[in-house]
Amino acid sequence: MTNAALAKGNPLFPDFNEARDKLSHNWRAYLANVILALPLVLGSLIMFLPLVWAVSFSFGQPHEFFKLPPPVIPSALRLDNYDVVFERVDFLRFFLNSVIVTTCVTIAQLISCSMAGYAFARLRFPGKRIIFIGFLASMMVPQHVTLIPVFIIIRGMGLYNNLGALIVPYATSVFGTFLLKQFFETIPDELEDAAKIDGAGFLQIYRSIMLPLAGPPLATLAILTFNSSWNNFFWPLIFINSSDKMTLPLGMLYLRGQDGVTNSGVLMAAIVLNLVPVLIFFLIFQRRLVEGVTLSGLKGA
Amino acid sequence: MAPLRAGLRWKKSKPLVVREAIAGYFFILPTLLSFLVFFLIPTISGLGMSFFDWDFFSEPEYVGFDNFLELADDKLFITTLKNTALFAVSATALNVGLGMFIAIGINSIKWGWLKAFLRTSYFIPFVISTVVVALLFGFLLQESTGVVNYYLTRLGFDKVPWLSSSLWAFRSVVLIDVWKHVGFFTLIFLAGLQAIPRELYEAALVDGAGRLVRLRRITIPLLTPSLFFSLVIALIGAFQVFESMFVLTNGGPGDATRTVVMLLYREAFGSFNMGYAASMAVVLFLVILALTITQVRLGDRWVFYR
Repeated sequence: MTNAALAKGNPLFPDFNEARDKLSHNWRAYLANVILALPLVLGSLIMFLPLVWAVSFSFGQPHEFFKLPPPVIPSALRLDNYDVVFERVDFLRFFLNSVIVTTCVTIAQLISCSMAGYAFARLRFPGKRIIFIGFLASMMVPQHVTLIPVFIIIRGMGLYNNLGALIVPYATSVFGTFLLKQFFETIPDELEDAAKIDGAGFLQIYRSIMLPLAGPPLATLAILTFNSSWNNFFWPLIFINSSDKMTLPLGMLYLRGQDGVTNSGVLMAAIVLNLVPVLIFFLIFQRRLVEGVTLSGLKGA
Repeated sequence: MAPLRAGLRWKKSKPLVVREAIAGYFFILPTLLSFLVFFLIPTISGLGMSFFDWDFFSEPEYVGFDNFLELADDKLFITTLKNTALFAVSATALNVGLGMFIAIGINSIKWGWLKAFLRTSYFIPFVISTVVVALLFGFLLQESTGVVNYYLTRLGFDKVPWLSSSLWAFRSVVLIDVWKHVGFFTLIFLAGLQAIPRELYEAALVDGAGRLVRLRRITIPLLTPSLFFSLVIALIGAFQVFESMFVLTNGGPGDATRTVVMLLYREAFGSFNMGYAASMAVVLFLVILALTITQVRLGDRWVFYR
């Protein structure tokens, strides 16, 4: 059998034709995949490289610091830069403050948002619609409009230069309320009715029916809140002025202001110390985080 | 209604409707209080404050529209407004545009592990705080000793004055913003892509439509709701940009990367011109509001809703 005959297809061996088509199709699909993936993989390198460099420079020595080419893999695992970070600033204090603020904000939001979400989704009370519309409208207003009056209110509460200033204004959120309301609306009425017939009050329904079902949206809210609270910089910048009350982002700026830290391996060491917990958090909760972001995206779309 | 009340001793006297309303207010109380104290009252007084001259320590003085008239003549404010608008437009275009194409690319890759890897790597910068990102890039982008310039010269390019020339400092800030946020928009578009029914593609394949035709006739039209959402939130966010410039360039060189919020921050907490700063916030809000309304209006024309 000639090649030309093969190309036309072999009537005696239909299986062979199919296998040949499949093979060439697979091969082309493979190639298309590689061509498509190449620029995307290069792009992902751009995402990783700065982080890799931070790690390698954090182990560098001051004298080899300006040596070029910069080593991608450090010559030795020297921890001197890390020692200097802990000498110059109370890094553990910053870390602890961040943990305290973030934990309080997250727990407070889980409670307040699930409560409000439950009320907006399942209870009838006068003014519900207008209050909810007001909540939604507030998402449109930049926080800088409210900045100066909130500053005065926080000072009036005696929370200036106090971790409370970073917690109280964030104890609830419109976004979280909206997220939980959307979820509670999907719970079938029968569940609630059964409990009502058994004589359960609203608080009981909220606690023993609604909350146990709300695990997934609560986890999403917790992770998004944790992330944004952990990275909050503007608020501490305005309300905190002593270093023992600083959270990590502001503490980083404080560290940079110290002698000889600007643009050095010490700064990189501090950056790595920042990255490690964030990346661990990311790897553990990646799926939920991605879900949360897409969910908030889809809600808007 | 009667059986429902059975067994609830202390509430027996009140009808269910009233009890439900009381419960409703009880449940929204924390959120409502916070809304009043940290949003509604501050917003109203923030708007009011923009009509006063106030240095935080002495009595506020009513000045009518003077603050706004002064803003219109304030060269620095106009500069920051221009910077902010230019930043917002370029960062939005790059973030949303690249995010969309990265998402389409990732989505059409067949290998699941590579998909997952790419999605993760583009999203990682999103969880890192802006301050850390700005400090890191401040280090990598140094003109004479920075790593980035070192490799550029090795590849035969000239050194780029990333942070020292006005033009490049502005570009750097935009690029860093894209580095940090493009993964977020990629995720939004990936979700949008997942919502497109497969049957559409199968039908198109039967009709013999090629890759490009499918992209233009199916993928992009059905992604327009995600595109619209991304454009709206990207623009709102970008107009409030502050942190990256504050840490990386502190507005410089000159005022090349100074934004409205940076100026507002300096006026309020550096010079204690509270009324003047408040009027800047009001202008910023009105600009954002006008743009969002325009986007929503225009959106009706090009967004494809199923």
